[in-house]
Amino acid sequence: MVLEKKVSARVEAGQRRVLDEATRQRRLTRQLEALEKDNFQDDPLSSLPPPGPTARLPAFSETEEPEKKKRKTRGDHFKQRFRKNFTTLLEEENLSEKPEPNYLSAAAPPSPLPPRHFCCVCGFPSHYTCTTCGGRYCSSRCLCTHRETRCLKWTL
Amino acid sequence: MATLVLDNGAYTAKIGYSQETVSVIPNCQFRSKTSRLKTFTANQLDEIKDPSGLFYILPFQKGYLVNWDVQRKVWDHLFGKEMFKVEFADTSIIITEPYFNFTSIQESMNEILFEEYQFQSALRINAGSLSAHHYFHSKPSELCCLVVDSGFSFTHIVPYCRSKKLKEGIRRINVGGKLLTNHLKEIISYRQLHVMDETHVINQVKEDVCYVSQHFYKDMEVAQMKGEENSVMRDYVLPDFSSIKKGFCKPREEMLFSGKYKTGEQILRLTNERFAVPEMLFHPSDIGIQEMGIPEAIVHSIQSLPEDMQAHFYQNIVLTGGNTLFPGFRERLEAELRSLVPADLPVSVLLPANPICYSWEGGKLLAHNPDYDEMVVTRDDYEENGHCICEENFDI
Repeated sequence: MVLEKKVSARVEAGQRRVLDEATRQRRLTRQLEALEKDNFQDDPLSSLPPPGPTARLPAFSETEEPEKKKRKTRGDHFKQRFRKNFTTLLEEENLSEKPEPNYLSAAAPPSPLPPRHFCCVCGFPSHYTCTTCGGRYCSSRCLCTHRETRCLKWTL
Repeated sequence: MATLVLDNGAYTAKIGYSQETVSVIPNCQFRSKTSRLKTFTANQLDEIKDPSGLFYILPFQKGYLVNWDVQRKVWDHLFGKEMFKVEFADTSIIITEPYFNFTSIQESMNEILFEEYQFQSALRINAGSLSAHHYFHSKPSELCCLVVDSGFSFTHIVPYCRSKKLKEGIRRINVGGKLLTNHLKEIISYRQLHVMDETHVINQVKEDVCYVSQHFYKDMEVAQMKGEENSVMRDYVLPDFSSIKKGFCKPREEMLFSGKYKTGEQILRLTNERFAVPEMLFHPSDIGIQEMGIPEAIVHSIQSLPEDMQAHFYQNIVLTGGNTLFPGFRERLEAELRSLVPADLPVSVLLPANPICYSWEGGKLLAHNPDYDEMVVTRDDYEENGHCICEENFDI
């Protein structure tokens, strides 16, 4: 049985690329926005092929179409007016013109206390920072796992 | 004339007639991978045979109602024959809205309630105002209270004085149940098993297993120990929807601390995630959100109010919303406030028996209030005067 020499993760530090502050900030913002998502998978309905001309049964289409048209226009009217997402609605509110207090002023300010840091691999309190991407780790084993899996992946 | 009380939340809708009891129903539509064509609405969730990888279609985004298509479909189902069988011309509705709701959303809601559904009269109100009404009704001697509403999308801290909200004291923290569940999914997916698609299952895990710790760093040390000494560690059995319909936490006696389980169940081993996830409510800076936590925001909010009222607010803090159901939440909040608030002011935090339905119960009391008829806007008023009468009457 040959014992393998343990490669220190710190030795390669001189050869690795270091991300600058703006990129780190962008990565953090992307992570936080990902936490706001409703679903991480695609809509099951969208993967089905759309109903083509062969799907429609010829016998019923003539009688049903006039009714469908009426309902469609009414539904479309609502859909056009109400299909706006949150950021559009917020901009429309034009809150800089409105008096305080308003939606923007009600947001809680940043905390005066310093943030606590946790290892991105195991979740326990961390004391060290990865030199390349700024992620925190607690021990050299977690640093190895971090380097292999998450460091510099999905970088803008 | 019947009154329907609807607490329209981003996750669940609490709905019921004012003479009857409340029903808590999911306020969204679902699609599942197995039955692709069918879209399930609200409580049809129970009919889904295989809720793995459930796709959610929520009408709310960041706590505000943006997708009216979905909301109308859910309401059609709730007001229709299968659920509440509402007779619109003869019913008055109390419906809740988030704080600082956008004017476009308010106008759309007026149109939908009066022109599409044609309710006889309507009252649009903040959910916290209903909670405050409930609180003042149960404690008539108090004049001020502070409502902490920690829900799915965000947490609001709102001071009320004599049943009017004090707008300059409202604080919003953008951390809610949705963020906690998504964060839990991310860390489990990285450390153990890929569960990013399983919102419904992990939400159940969060509700069963997570708690708020009273001594954070001490619990962290205990969670790092191995074997039997680690009293924090729990094993959670995931459902496979054929033999195990619903996930559950294994009791400590059955847990194996070394080696693998012989049965074929999928197990999640949770240690520090149990209390690190709800910790985000107290310290959003843990994951990088630049906002204060709930205790600091409460102090910030009360300090912006006149000094002579501050003592009254600290004594009447009410917790509502689903996130307050974490075990240990009330004690931890009281302890943190006690350390932040000057020593001569007493602090008292109330966690009601049912924080989720507390606002709905307030709505029920409001419907029986003699002043109720003056507070609503009837359909005739709306047709004569349009949106401005709603803007005047309702204090959103």
